[in-house]
Amino acid sequence: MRRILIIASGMPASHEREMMAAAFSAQEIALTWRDIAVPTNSTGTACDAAVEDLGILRSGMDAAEEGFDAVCVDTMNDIGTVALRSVLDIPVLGTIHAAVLHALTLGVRFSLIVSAQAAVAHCRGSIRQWGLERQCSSVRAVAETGLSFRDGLHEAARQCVMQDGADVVCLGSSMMAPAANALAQALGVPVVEPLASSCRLAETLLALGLRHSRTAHPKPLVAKPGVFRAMAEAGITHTNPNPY
Amino acid sequence: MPSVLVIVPFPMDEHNLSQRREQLNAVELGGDMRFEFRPVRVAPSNYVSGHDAVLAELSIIEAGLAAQREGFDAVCIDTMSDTGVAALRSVLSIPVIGPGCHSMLTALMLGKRFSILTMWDAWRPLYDKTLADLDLGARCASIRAANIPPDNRNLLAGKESHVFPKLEEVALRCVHEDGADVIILGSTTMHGAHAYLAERLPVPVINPGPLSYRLAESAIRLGLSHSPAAYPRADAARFEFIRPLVTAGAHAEAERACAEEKRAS
Repeated sequence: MRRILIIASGMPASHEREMMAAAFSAQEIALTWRDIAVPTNSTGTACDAAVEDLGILRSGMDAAEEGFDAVCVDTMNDIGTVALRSVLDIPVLGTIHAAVLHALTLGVRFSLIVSAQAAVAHCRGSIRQWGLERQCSSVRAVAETGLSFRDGLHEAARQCVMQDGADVVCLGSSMMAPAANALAQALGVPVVEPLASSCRLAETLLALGLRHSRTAHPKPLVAKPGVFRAMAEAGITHTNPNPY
Repeated sequence: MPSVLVIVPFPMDEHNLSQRREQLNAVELGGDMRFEFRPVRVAPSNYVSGHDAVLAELSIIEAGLAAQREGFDAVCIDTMSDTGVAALRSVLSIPVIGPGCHSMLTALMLGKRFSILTMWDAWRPLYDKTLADLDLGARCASIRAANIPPDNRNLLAGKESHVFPKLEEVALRCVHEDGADVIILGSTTMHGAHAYLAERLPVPVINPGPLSYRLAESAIRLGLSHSPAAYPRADAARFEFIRPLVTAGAHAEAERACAEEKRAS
């Protein structure tokens, strides 16, 4: 049995987790969900991201010692994922990054759909960092449609394909996962659900014995796990006030 | 009098801080500007890994979070990594100047291609990140390192005769072999070498720290600051909870350093 740790911002409903876990158990893969260690109530700004990165690092930094074989970080944030790679020798996947790369195996141009408007700028920044701006047709927010979440998601996806020219649509949050199949049918293009595709990719990397390169992801000169533990603990004590 | 907060990315004593402050002497400022140098309270040992980036980002945010409320008119971040720039821009409407992106954009006002001259290869990802942010990879002729491990506290003091000629030799390769029109010093800690290099190299040499101070002054005088469309705004007060996190981190780091010292002795 291989064990994959999923670090998530916002937990999917338990029946969805159970369904996904059941699908993976057939291949002897056990999935474990863990919420980000520091609560953020993120509104998608770079400042929120910095706190979330601390939470991601804290949630995953002991994963190998805890017996996990791979980590999937199911958030928009890349820095927390990169930080985990610097301290872990097991595969660490950022679900959105993996999803857009997966999308490019299925089509030439992808679009990404996120929930909140503020997250659009942050995502565009990540896409630039990944060097994939030219392959990206658009980043759209469900909120910008002004519709309900379900209808807004369909409308945003339709605009990605019809107006922006996307060959593949990537969903930017696990809240959208249940709609993936219906969307793909309605749009006639592949829809990549980042968490499921990343867990499958993690499975593949494990089977092939592949993990991140140390030249791209160097270890810290001095690892300071105690500092991160103390900061995350303080983050839990000093509850982040509600943004609204 | 307009005032600028300069965030220094490592905790340091007054002596080391004064060496950082020396950068002010390298540039002619408008005269009626006040610069306050403030070190962060906790930091990674150096900026070479993802682990380091998480700690650096939060400690720099904490140092600058209240800058506007404290009455500062601009913030400079004294590291070429531009750590914390995007985050502070999301909570402050005063200009936040990062030497990394500003020195690259300024270099393109002086020439078509620039090279980054740095101390060691471990800093390469810091420049790659900014180059990707700006999508200016094609304008970067090269990144070359002297490969002398840097000292972030004592900077280049006492090492001039060994380090400066080596930097000059590497910079000349940037110019002659890579086609650089402009050389950017890859770290604000290298400011001590600027005068030596500027005198000897056939192309302009950008000293990123002093450039950022001057650009902060310009930004204040022009009344220009970053666009909220590129940096969606959040209320700084909402992030006050970062302070106790950094305090806890600083305590844990003091304990770690103390334990390490004991082991060494």
